[in-house]
Formats: sequence, C-alpha cells, structure tokens
Amino acid sequence: MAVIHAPQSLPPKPAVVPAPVLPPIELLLVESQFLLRRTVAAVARDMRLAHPREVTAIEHADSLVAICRFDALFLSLDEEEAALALMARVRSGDTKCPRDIPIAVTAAACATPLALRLKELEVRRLLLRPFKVKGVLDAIAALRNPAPERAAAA
Amino acid sequence: MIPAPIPADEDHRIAALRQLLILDTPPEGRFDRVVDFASGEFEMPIVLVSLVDSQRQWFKARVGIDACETSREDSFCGHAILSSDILVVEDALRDARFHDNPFVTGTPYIRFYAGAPLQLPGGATVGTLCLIDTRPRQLDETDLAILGALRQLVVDELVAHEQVQ
Repeated sequence: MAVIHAPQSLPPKPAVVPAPVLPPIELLLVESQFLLRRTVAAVARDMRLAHPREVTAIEHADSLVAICRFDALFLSLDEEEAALALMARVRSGDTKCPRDIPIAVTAAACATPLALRLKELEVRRLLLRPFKVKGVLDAIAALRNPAPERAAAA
Repeated sequence: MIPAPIPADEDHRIAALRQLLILDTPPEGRFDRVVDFASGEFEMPIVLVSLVDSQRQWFKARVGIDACETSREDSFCGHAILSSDILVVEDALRDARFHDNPFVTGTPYIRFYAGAPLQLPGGATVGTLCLIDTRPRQLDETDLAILGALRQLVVDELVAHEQVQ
C-alpha cells in the first residue's frame, strides 16, 4: 500500500486550544430606563456573562454595596454627583466590593471635568448615549477580563 | 407562496388569544415602547407586536406601517407561530414560502423577517414580536438573545393585561 507523506516543508498545524470559558460575574446594574435595564439583564444572564442585580437609582445601589460583594459595577450617570460619590466610596474601600472592582458607566455627555474625574476613579468604560444593548453587553463582557495593566503583568 | 398553515392547537390558541381581551383595543404605551426600542436597537424600519387571529393578524403595536391588520394567509407571523423558536427569513426572495408573497412583491416589499413567537405560560402561541426590513439582513447570536428578551417583556405585559381583566 502506498503511503503518502505530507511535504516536509509544511509547518505543523497549531494545536487548537479552546478559549477559556469565563464564569458569569456578579454585576450591579444601575439604570433607570426599564426596557434597557431589563433587556441588558436578561441577555447578560442568558449569555452567561453575568448574574445581574438590577436597581433603578444610586440610592438603592448604595444600600447594596454596603452589604453585598460584586465583581463589577455598571452605573448610569443620570444622577451624576451621587454616582461619582458612590464610586469614590468603592475606591476608598468603604463598601463590601473590592477597591479595584471594574466599573463601567453610561452618560448623556462627557465634558473634560467629568472625563478627568472618571479617569481618577479608574472607570474602565464610558458609553455615551445613544448606545445600543449590544454596546452595553460588550462593555459588560470587557469587565470580565483583567485590567489591561494586570493582564500584561500576568 | 405557501399560505400560513394552521397549527394543531388552533382552537386552544384562539381561545387563549381571545381570553386576553386585547384584540382591537387602542394602542398602549407599554407595547409601543417595546416596538420603538426594538426599531432603534436593530435599526429596523418595521417592528410589530402581531397577534394572529383566526383570519387575520392584528397589530397591537407597530412602527413603520400604517395598516392595523392584514390577512393571516399572507402573513409571515402565521408561519412564525408554528414553533417556539424565532423564525428568521434572511431574504424572502430566496425562500419558497415567501418569494411570491404579496408583501414581498408589493408594498412594504419585505426582504428580511425575524419573528419571535409570543408563547403564553399555558403554551398557546398567540402572535409574534417581529422585525422587518426591506433589504436582506442577518442576526447574530446576541441579536437573537436581545430579540428573545424583548419578546419576553411583551409576553409579561400580555399576561399582566390578562390578570388585570
């Protein structure tokens, strides 16, 4: 029986390594718009991106972070001052969440002072309205990954 | 064209639909908001909450179309209610069921259709939340999950409506 050998010059096929499947994260989702919030939460749950805890206002988020640990925060800046104050408390370690918890925010607009404040608070993603559910889901997926500097160090 | 088939559970389905007491009622914000939202999210010119009655499909909420009902026989939604899965027709001109459908060959010149069946807790599928475009389109996995989530919100509202009656 003839045996056909592959030409020696062909490079070996790389082994197929499946991408690691990241577990869903515990997500605090603060969004006042009902349809947006419910749709994002349902799809994030369905696609196993996150176990979202939905609240409509920063006041409710404040109560939750005092007693619950989350892996990521996704906040609307509709109540800008209250949201910034919440993030400051999280970063200073005054909540049950880790100080370095990844945070993404949504806003209607972002002038330089707000951008600087968000940078200071180490906000990882900013979505400006109008945005789509898909954009929010992409941002949530990105919150599951380590911060870029940590990924580089690993 | 293949006319919309009649499902095996038609009597049960029509009874469940009629029990909702929603046919021919005025527009309501809670349904209008969903079709507006879906139209923006998916950039679709036509989005409907369509309820499939015995001879017609009637639109509880609509964006991009003036008619409030059309014949069931010609309806895409009449096909979509046959399964609990979302029916996606990427290009109606290439689909034997729809290529010569009057809504494909004439106004509104449907080319793309995605219908998420509205299945009530009792199992009856009373209609769809559907997306329609005049050009061929595709939906990815995330799009389908978003459409499925919006569909569930419509079902929740239909059931809530029923409970208030």
